[in-house]
Amino acid sequence: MRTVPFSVGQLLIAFLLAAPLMALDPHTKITDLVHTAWSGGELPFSAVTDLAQTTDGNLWVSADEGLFRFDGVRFVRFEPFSGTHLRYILATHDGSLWVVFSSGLVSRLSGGRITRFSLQELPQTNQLAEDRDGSIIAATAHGGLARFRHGHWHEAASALHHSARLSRQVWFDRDGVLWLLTEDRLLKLLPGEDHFIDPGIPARPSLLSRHPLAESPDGAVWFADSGLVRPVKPGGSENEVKVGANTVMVDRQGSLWVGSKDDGLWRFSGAGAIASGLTGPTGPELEQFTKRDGLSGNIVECAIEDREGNVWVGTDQGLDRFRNGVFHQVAIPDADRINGLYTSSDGGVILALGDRSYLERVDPEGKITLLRFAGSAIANCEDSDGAVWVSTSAGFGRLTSTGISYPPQPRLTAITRMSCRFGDVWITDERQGVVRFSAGKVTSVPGLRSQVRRFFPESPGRVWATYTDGRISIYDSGAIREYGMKDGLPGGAIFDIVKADGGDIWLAGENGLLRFRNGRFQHADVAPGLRLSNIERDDSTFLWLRAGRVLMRMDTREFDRTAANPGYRPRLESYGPQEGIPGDVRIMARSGKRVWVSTSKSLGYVDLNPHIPKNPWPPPVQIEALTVDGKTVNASGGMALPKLIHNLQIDYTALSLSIPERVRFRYKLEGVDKDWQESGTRRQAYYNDPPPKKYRFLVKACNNDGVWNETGAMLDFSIDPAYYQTHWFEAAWGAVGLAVLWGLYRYRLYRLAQKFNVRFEERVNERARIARELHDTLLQSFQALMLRLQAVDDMLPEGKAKDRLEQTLQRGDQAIADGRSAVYDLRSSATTTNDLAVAVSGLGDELATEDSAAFRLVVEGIARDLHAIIRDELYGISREALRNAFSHARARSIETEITYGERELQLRIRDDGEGIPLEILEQGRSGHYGLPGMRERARQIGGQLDIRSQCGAGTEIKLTIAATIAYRRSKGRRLFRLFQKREDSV
Amino acid sequence: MIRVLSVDDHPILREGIASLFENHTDMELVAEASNGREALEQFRRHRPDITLMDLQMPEMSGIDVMSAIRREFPDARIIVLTTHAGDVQISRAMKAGARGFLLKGLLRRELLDTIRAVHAGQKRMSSEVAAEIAEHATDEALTPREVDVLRLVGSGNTNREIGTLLSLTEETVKSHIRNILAKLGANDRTHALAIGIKRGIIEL
Repeated sequence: MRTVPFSVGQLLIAFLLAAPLMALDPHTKITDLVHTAWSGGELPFSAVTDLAQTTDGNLWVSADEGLFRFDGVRFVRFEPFSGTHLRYILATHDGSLWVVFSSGLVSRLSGGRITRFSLQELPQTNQLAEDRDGSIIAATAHGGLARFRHGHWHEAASALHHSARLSRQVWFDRDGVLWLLTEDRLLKLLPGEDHFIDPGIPARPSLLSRHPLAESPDGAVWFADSGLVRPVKPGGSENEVKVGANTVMVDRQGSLWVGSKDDGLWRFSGAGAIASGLTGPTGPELEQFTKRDGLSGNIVECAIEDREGNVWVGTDQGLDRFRNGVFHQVAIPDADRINGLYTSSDGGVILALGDRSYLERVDPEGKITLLRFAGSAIANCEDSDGAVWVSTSAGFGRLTSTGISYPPQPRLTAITRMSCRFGDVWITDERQGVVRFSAGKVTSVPGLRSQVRRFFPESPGRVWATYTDGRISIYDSGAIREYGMKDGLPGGAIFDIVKADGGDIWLAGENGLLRFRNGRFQHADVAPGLRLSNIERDDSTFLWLRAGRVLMRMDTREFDRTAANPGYRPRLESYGPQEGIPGDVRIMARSGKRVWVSTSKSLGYVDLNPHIPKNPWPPPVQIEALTVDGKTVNASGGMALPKLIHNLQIDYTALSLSIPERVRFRYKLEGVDKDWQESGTRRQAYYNDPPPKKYRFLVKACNNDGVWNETGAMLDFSIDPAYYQTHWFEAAWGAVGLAVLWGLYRYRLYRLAQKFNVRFEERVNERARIARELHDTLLQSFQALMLRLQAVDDMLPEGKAKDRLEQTLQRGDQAIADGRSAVYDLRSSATTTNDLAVAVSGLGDELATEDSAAFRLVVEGIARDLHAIIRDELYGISREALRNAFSHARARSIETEITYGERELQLRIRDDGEGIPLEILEQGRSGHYGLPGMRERARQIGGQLDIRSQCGAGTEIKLTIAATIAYRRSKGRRLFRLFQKREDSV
Repeated sequence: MIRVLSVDDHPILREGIASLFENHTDMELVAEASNGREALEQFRRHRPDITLMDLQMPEMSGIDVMSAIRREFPDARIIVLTTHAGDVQISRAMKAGARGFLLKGLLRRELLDTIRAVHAGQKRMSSEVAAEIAEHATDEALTPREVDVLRLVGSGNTNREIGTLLSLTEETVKSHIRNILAKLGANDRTHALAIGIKRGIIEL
């Protein structure tokens, strides 16, 4: 495994930058921190004995069942220590993890190596501590002390004149002071000194206490004695906390965390102030968090703060994490029954719960006042002057802490909606329609329809009414204008309206968000698929939305982007369980500087400008293991995996412990993946049947705030080839494949040749048959006919008719002679000789004249016997080509070359003449040059005809025929016989 | 009255020849035959003055029929009719006792005159046939063995195969072929074959 951690410098800078931000807010109540517990069956261990975070970002959990690594998602057992009991672990600045087993033996884990120290090297050990110089001090049995420096343990007690019976705990404070807890004393050794001093602190340490000492930012050292936690200083007992503690820890904000023996977790915010005597009048804020609040167990063994500022707590039953949240819970009974939440002028809210006959007024501090009335509330609201109006079954009235008062007639008893502001109450009554209640008088507003979904009094005398059908009316001092789809409304109900400081009206509804500006509506569906039920604005450009069951915050600029480009996906920050808002959000309303939220589980608020520090830590990435066909092996660089892998799984992780659920990954297996694969939150990569070769796996991750560790992690490995995947085997297969291909090629040639042979034979047979037919019947018949005509001629007297017949008979003779000659051609070969060269040579001689081009014939290779048909066609092509060359090309020399090759027969006719014009070459104008004929002849005999010609540069006609087709084999003589059959009588 | 026997395997041609005689009172067609065997029978029965003999017939070739007739009736006057013939064929026909040699294409104009001439005791042949013979008159004829070799070459045999078939050594076959090429004025074996066929030296 090769991790690519940050450099120390990076780490330090990040730490310094992050330190003030990344810590738990002491002003947030412990119950408002986002708490997560892991316990019971989901754990591979029962009780946590200690926790530590090594510099590589791993969180280590020691337990009675061994050592485990935790990345916030998975617990990974450290196999070499499985089955051992661990008591204490210490992460040191050099990246090591020191382990103290229950047996008192010590091991060190560093760079993937384990160093085990024998009892000869180091006696049984109770605890370890790291000095400022990086050396390690061990508190060993029988009051011993040892120091680990330069790779070896050295006895240290005698040099320090230490002679206690017991060395229970050792601990360094920030100044480098070594604190030593003996059987009854707390001693300190100043840096550079060689004598412990006794500050006179009575110590009755608990046998089980693990981390009894901690230092707050002001330098105060806190000591957990049995039953007491207090600062180590004279008079410190004034601020003591009477808690029996196993562990104390001070976080970066100075909060003291106390893990009690059986009473859960305590937090002491502002511990520093207390220790330095600056305690305010309200006294120390001491908060408790127990199993009842969700803690995994009430016996708290240890607590640490990780570098992202999360506090981790190990208990007897599990592991807990505390993280900053945004939600401030307000404890009220039956918070899950809230069905109405109305803003109150004091920054609090007024709640309606179920069908109770009272409203609850909750002030900003969470104090509850009940506002009672008879019957049940249907709708209610609070005006800006503090008046609470309620509609009950008894009628519409004004509610105070002393009771309800009903205004004079008419009584409105069927109110469905109402809203009040600017001294007006706008009401929809099923019987009266829309009415306005103002200055004690009810006036009807006839222009508004009664299907009102929501009233929004924008300014005195101006009110918006949205209807269930998606339309909107604006009533302004008696004038009413109604808007619909044609005005840019998207349709669907509008549930809530808010006015921004600049004058924009924002409307949230079934189909997204609307903005009304300068008399026009603009629409953008910013959260497709979610209905926007509530909308509020903050003091800057943000809008708060209840989208579906989640609270969201959106910058109005995202609206502009979405409206301008419908393909744009607006960024909405969601506030849910990860931010500490429990359950489904049901109602959201702004009151003062808070956004109040009622959820299915509780009531609370989010500050209008929530301060959630960004997590600046790019998470370290680790490749943990490879699972090869179900068998898991630890990842190590350059590893060679066995052959024939079907399923390869690569486990990787990133060490961002705040919200591991939002850690995202991308990976790439070089040689397989072309691009980075976005795997989201998945921490495994899968590959099927990876071929044997060398691989490099790369993985990157980002933390919950999208800060990427671009370096990521990398793992080189290879997969061995099976014998049949080796190169020689491939080569052998390749050879076999080639041989098969060659064979197929030969076979194809053979088949082709056979096909042509068959065709040639058929053609020869056909020729012979036709010739015989012509000779035997037609010619004979004509001959006989001529004789009969001659007989008629003989009978005719001299005269015109006889002369005419005489002429006709002579023509008949000529025709018969021609016919016979044609038959002769059919039966014999067109060439007078079977030798193509002789025939072509004869052609050349025939065509050449004294003025024409010089003709030359070249024969390459040993002349082979050709099929008659092929010879004839070659002759025909040659004749055509030579004729062209002699009569059109104006060549000086014409050459014919016949090459009898092993593989093919080639006939080449070239001249140095004018060349064939391109258009003729391309179109092969019929009647000229006979090019189509030549091509047809070539095709018939399975040849390839290439004509290359350039204007002024001559012409070359090349005909190539595969040897298998062209040459006659010594056996195939039948053809020859057939064609010459009965030659004698022809 | 010249009594004529017409031998040809094509009835239609025989009819044509017969029609020629209709207008001439100095000759008559007494019998016809379509093959060698019939020819011999008809000759015995009718003893014609003149026999017109097609050379190319199934079963027996015209030359064989002619020889058979001539063995029985040495005085038989036979005129050979053929579509085309090389000089060797003409020579063979003449040796077999033909008195006239007529190309079928010239029947119309020359048959009656030829019949009359032969009947008068002359020998007659077409001018073209005469020219053909004259052309090769000075050529040295192929020996029977050379003809055999050429025939076997025509059947597609190699020198070695020919040697085996004729019980000759390959060398002897080669020397025969050299002689054949020289006598026929051929460039190579195939050319020799073509010439051999054209001149009627071999029939395949």
